Amino acid sequence: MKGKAVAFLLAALASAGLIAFGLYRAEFAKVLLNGALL
Amino acid sequence: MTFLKRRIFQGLGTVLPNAYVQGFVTPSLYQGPLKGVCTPLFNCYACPSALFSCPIGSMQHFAATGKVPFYAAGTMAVVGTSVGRMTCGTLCPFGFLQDVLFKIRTWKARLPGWASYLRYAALAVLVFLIPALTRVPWFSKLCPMGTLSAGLPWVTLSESVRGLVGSFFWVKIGILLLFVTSSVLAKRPFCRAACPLGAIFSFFNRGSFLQLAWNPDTCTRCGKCQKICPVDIRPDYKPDSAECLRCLDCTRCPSLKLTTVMNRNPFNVPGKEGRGESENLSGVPA
Repeated sequence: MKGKAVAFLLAALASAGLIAFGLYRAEFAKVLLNGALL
Repeated sequence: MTFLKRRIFQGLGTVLPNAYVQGFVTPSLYQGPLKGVCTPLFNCYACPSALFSCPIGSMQHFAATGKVPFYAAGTMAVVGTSVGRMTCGTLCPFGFLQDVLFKIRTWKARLPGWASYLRYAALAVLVFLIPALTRVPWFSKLCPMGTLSAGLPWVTLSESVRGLVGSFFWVKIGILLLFVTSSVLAKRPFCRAACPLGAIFSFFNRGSFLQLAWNPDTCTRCGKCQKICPVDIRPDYKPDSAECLRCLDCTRCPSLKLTTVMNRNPFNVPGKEGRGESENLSGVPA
């Protein structure tokens, strides 16, 4: 279980980093435009 | 989770992301701020009533424009890290449709084990590789959910779209019919063999916060869990399987329960607290 807990914490950190970097690059607006102008 | 409760969640997962009813009346697409949010569901954002964006469609858009989809991939990673494939089992509208179709009483078949690798191929080839090379979102073009919830409504509602129908539209209809008919015969064929979103969530099942725990001390290996499993797996053999949808139907059996990755003794077995991994969620029966 210790290995799984470490894997979870690493994955949580990496995914939070990914989403934060995406928001920093204003990808929310790009997704919005792509979805709205199909 | 009881069977009825899961059906209610699946109904909500179908209705709430498609609450822009005005889209069917006008007909038009919702263009508000919610369209910037990727839902962790297989729900086409070209559907007239769709409020949110499809993560696979968004990722393809980025791949086709030569960019890395950090935001869409990060959103899916956050969901996957939290609950694994649970949204596939409890919220996905296309999964719900397949569950309902499988209820039709007829001869039933089993998907071969290797079919589950096809969804990883669909993710790599149709979502990333081919769109990056051709600049065309090929998975979206072939997607059966897109045909069902966007292609067919738009052809019905709009005369100008109807005028665009060509031979490729009938290829899309053929793919939709293939998955609809195969869903009557086998358990969730699209989720298991073709869904790229399920493939993404599969990567997180082993290390997600929510976990399925199995108690080898009380399990009689009766196999009833496989009979009720919507993807035909044995949760007692491998509770953290990449195939598991975390629908929790099998937790009707007292030997299986939902737990968290932090819980080292989910069944409160005396003397097992704080001891090694193999003594808790061993996963492989003796």
